[in-house]
Amino acid sequence: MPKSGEPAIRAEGLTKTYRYTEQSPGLTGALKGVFRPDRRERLAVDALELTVPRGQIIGLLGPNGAGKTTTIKMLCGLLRPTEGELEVLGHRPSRRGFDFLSRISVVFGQKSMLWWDVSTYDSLVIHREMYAIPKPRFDRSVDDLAERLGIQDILHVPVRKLSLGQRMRCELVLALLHGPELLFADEPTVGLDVVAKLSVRRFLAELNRDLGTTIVLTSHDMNDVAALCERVVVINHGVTIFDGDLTALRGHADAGGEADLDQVMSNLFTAGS
Amino acid sequence: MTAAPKLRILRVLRVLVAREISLVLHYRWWLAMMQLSNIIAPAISLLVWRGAIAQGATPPVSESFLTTYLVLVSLVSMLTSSWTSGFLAAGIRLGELNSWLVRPCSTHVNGLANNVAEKLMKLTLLAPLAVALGLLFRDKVALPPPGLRWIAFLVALFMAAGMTFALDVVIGSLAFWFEDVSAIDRLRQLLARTLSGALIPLALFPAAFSGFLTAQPFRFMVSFPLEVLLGRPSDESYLLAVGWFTTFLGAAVVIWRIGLRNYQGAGA
Repeated sequence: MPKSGEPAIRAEGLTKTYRYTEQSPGLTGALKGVFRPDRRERLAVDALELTVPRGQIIGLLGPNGAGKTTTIKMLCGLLRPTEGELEVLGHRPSRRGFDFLSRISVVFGQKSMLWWDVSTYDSLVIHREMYAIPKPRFDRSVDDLAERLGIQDILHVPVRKLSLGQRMRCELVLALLHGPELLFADEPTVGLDVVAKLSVRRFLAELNRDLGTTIVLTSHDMNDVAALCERVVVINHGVTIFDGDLTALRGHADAGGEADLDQVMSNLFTAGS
Repeated sequence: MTAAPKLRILRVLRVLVAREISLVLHYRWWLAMMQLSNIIAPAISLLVWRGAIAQGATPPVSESFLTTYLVLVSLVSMLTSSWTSGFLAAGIRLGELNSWLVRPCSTHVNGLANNVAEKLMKLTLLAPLAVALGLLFRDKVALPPPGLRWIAFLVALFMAAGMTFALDVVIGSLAFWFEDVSAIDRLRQLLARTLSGALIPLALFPAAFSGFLTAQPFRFMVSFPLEVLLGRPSDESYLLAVGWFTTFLGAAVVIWRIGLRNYQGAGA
């Protein structure tokens, strides 16, 4: 059990290299690949240094392929780092023990964690058993989260019949049912309309304010970042190119204090490329 | 693992089985047709062998053993079957495994729940068909009285189902390294169908192959439980059954763990 003063995340020299085989085009390339495979490596995250205190909302930003999702996958235990030290809530994530997994949660904007053919409530019942949540606490949490996210009326509707916005709110209820201390939200507002986006943002802010949940957010929507993140870490080509607050980010990108954040990010990536 | 985590996994398995049953009920007609086709092959085999015996053929086993074996083989084949490798391989290749790896429950519990639920449904459909087949040939069906033999049969059946499931996990886990494991799976299906005794009792194969057929692992996936119930397998056979069971289970655990280190979690 980590001490309360310890950071939620501590990464030193965190590195991930993907190994893959590249095949030349055409039949000749395919035959050559059988006998002499062209093995390559791609550095997705390069010696990342990151310390996240408890209770912070941090935005992990970068263009497509920058290494943000790989970083999140290492932080939540999905991927084993190639090199470096990583401690999340006092655990080594890749061991994926119950004590670690029951204190974190992950929301993938592009991948559902709900069971598709049954209602959200049925998925919640499965999570109740997975996380060994006592029935009275389960009932309280479901009532509270359903009310906060306004999903009382759709709790018993099969997930496949929900709209994207409704489904994302249900995903959040499922992700937070066990009361995680650390939430990884990987593009939670992708594809949502304005109303749904605002609802998700408001909820994440409340979660952080009321329960002190640490949130690691990735999003290409800079409005999400501006509304939620007190700190942003910008990654490009697997390397951290900025770590600080939004005011400092604008300064770093030589943009004015009121500059549009999309323009700020564009300046940053163009300058770095 | 202490008692509390085991109980937790059992509770998860229970709710997942209940969910799977509610889903499988949507496919009840597909399941019913599948069970009908499962009983037809041994029924035809039974008719052919009964005809051959009536014409004077002398198989190396008694007519009663042969008849009872072929009446029960569809049930045993179904109960010891597994179909999780394709789903597992797709989950690895497409990154669907991600959603299981971030939760405190193995994806194999889900595979097991699907297996158990579907088998429970299939059993309710197949058992009446097997009983009808048995009644049709009741003059030559000889089941042992209730007792130790039945208990040993149930243990052998459980081990056979465990072995098949473990082999399925091994084949599915190969997707950590290979793009497509369906060819390996097809080869496994072919070997299993021929060498497990699901189509023809192994005792009817040429005597020259008996040494190989006795020792090879597929025997313990269908034939062996029936041998335990209807015959008297040697002590070595019991040892081989335990040996193969342990080997397959161990291989599944080791290959899965090594594979997870290679996992690249495609997609979000």
